[in-house]
Amino acid sequence: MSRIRQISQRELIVLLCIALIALVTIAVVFAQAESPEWKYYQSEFRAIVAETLGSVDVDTIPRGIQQIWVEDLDRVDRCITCHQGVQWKGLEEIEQPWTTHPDQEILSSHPIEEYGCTLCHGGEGFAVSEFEAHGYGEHWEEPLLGQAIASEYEPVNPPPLLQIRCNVCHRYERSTPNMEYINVGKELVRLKGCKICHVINGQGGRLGPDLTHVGEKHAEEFDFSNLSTDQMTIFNWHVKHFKSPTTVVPASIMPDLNLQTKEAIALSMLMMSWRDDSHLPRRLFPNLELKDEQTPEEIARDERMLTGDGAFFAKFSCFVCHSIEAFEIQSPTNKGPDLSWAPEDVRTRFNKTVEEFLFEPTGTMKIILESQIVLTDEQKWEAINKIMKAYDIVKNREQEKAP
Amino acid sequence: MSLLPKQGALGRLFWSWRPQSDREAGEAVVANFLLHWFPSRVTLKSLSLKYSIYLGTISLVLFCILTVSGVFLMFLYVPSVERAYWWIKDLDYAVSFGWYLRRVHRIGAHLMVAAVFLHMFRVFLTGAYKRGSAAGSNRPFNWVLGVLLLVLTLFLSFTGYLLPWDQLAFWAITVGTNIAASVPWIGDEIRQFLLGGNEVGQNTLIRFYVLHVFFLPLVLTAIAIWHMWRIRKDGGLAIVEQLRIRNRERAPEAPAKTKTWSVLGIASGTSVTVLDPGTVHETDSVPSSPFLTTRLLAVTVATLVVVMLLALVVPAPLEEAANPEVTPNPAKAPWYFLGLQELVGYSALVGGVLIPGIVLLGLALIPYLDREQAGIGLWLTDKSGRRWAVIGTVWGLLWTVGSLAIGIKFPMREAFPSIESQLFFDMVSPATLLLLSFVVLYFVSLKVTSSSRTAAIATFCAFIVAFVLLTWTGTMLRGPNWQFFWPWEAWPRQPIPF
Amino acid sequence: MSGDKPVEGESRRGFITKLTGWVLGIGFVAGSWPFIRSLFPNVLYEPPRRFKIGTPDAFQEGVHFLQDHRMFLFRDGSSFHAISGVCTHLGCTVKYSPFKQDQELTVRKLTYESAGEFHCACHGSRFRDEGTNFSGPAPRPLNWYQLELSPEDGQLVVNMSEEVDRDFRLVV
Repeated sequence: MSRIRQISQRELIVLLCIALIALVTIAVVFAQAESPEWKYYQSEFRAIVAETLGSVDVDTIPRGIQQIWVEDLDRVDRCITCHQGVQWKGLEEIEQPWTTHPDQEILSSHPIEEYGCTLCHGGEGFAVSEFEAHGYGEHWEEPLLGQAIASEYEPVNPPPLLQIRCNVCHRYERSTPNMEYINVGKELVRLKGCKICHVINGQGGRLGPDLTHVGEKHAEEFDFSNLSTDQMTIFNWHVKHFKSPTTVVPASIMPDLNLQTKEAIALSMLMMSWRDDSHLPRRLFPNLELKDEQTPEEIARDERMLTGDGAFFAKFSCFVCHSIEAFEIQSPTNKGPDLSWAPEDVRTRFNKTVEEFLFEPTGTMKIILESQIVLTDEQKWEAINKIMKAYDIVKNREQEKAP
Repeated sequence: MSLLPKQGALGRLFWSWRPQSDREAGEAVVANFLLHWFPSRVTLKSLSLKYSIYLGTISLVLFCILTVSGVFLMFLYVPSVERAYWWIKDLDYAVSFGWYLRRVHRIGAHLMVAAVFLHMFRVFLTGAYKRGSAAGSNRPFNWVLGVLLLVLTLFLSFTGYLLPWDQLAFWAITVGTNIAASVPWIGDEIRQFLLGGNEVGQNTLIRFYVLHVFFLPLVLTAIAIWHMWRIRKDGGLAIVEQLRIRNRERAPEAPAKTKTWSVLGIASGTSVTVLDPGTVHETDSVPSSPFLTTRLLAVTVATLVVVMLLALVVPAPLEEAANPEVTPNPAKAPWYFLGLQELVGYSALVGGVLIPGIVLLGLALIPYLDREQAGIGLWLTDKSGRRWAVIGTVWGLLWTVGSLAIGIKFPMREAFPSIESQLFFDMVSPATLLLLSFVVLYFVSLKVTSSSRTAAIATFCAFIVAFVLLTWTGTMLRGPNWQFFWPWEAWPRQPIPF
Repeated sequence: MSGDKPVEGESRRGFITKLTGWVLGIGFVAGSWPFIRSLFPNVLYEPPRRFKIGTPDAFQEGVHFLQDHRMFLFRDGSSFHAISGVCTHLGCTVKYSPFKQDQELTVRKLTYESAGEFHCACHGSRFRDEGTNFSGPAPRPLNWYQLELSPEDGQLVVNMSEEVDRDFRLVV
């Protein structure tokens, strides 16, 4: 039997080196796994509790990933892994993330065990590291609605974007305490008559798109070509669009509502809050009919707009710019003059009769009547007749007033 | 002196891994269940790293890594359209080492696709698909098995791609199955069969899941075993043919072997060699245990190290949850199909059906179109082969870049606005141009060199270049709306909610 | 020169081989650990085993049945303890049956005033109010659970993953 030929020592050493590198790599994997962010926050918390609330035995403070699972909301929130102090009393003066939850009143009516955290605050509940958990990652679409984002819009007076999420459930209320911006937005919706052109919650006109679930619209469904590249967010689109619709959407027939920046922000927050709530459990909407609250006067006024002589001007959208006081038609914008006085106005301004002007318009009306509101000859005559009737009505009223 | 004698408890268990004599080495292969896989002896040339780069081994090791990590992942995943995405989120955040398991599996999958491609390139370029002179050898058939394994690997990767059920997964499979639908006559049926319906949904997910975890691995394992068994039947790696030729020259009258290695012949004989001077001699070869086993161990551990290191630095992406109503921009197939997606953009018929069909058929038929026996096992065969490899590479580079340039700068439909015929645009497209350039290359090189092998080398090298370049283009140079961007041009920022 | 060098070479080879073997062995065990560890969950989608039940003042003197958690809370002055309401036979929920008059009992070397007992409707098992099984098929006494006061807000916290014995009392 021949002496066995052996593997060269060099090869053995190569194998040894590869094996050592493997061992080191495994060690690195272990090191990675043993040092997640939250371990630091949890050990700090124990130190803080020992210092601030000396009587507590820190060993009872839970270690490891903590989560709140709200089954009927299908949400898992692991925020309390780092934010361990939210339900503790006595840590109000400590900084984030260990502090007691501010606003205990809201917290007691929305207990964490029943609501989780991200339903109100946004962010990614599954995550256990700060950047991902706060929802700032590239592929998470519900970021934490806090100061970080808000101060990018208004560094001086950052809006409380959190109210957006409040309104996902509270949208059917006329006004809710602690939701100032949203309340302002809702008031504006009533004042400016948005429902005249837009369907909202099942009611409204069809001149503009249905806004009931506008908050669900995905970023790719918006046209950002008229916004600069550092402004390409949905929220910003809404703010700019409210301030000047035609700048953002050149072909828009939405009138300029003369809104201040703060009002535009409030309305934009309202838009972002109008989400699809059909999957939310009923327990989040106690004692509520899922419809907007309207006063009886408002209901009656809307009805009157749709019947009677004035209905013509509602149907053909003239009222968007023009009021007609003779028929109690109220324009939300009053961009143009009241049509009840048209016979006089048209003569004064254009030296024409209403009939001449309607069939051969000039200026803004030319553009509108050529593209946006196209009337047949018959319809134009009906308009003229109604305007004349309105004129009679207002002239009679004037005569009755001044004997 | 000897550390593990055959006596003693430990010795009895492990002697076969450390044989102390040639006889023991031969017996080891017969006595040990795991070692029976290997031949008793293996040639020094086969062991050479420079020859095979151990790519076949690497592919198999990667498959084993994927299988093991895959089985563990099966405990941590559920194939439901409502749940799958969230289980993957939990895997990344809440499961101990979950991020690691996921990354290992993903990077292993990408590496395996790359490894099987590289293995195919190596086998082709060394002419190891050729028949050879040993009795019973049929390397051409083993090549066909290899092509089949390539397709299975791609299909495994494709089915696995869907499972996270995020936007990337959902739309990649949407694009991929739409490419499949471009097959004439039966394309729609193929797509419906893959999807389990008309749309990507729960049926698709469970179908792809079962294919991915059970059916395809089973088939791949069976064919891989067959593939490796064929190596034994073929007499070993193709480089052995050169040894056989040299030995024949030394002893031309020696009897030729009438059958391949017989285990019984070794076990009952007085030495480990079968008496046939045409086969390997003791001077050319070494016992498999421990020489081959040690090298395979080194390659295995090295592959593991690479996978682990990459798993530490390369994250596994998870985009938004799958949303059929929103298409991400751009929507791309998995990287190994991006070359196809690029070509399909020019012509669905040529890019999606003709070219892939011709490529697969062409690959499978290579050993039957080129039956020359010279230089088996030698890289690029000979001087002419080396020269035409360069010519083929340059040709492939020029024509691929040219076809891409035409496709990007002169979109056909804009160049001929009045023509409506789809067939015209299929015929007159950069994809057709590329295909024709390959046809020309093959026949010209065949005519000039009168060698099917050299023509094959030229065409294959052009194919490698075209595949790599088209894949890179589809990955790196195509941005939103499938617009072309130079590498230094930034893609437009995508809008976000806040 | 003849005998030494080969032996040295042998032992160096042997050392390298052995070392490689150990490194690979440790590597294999260590490398397998992540895979095995991943199968032991860190978070569970189940009702928590440790939960709050309310402040001490929410509970009057006597026995309180907490239906959602299948357990009984006992209050005796300022002393509290918690007993499981799950029968140790096959898991039905037991009912508490108070006596008209307290009885002095000695159970497992403990003498005390007993105010009632537990009955299981499924197969007739009976337990003393300190948990001991004394009639029917139940094989073991009812569990007593760890009870704490939460440092966060002073609520009572039941910890069902920690069992305690009969002399446990939480005094607030």
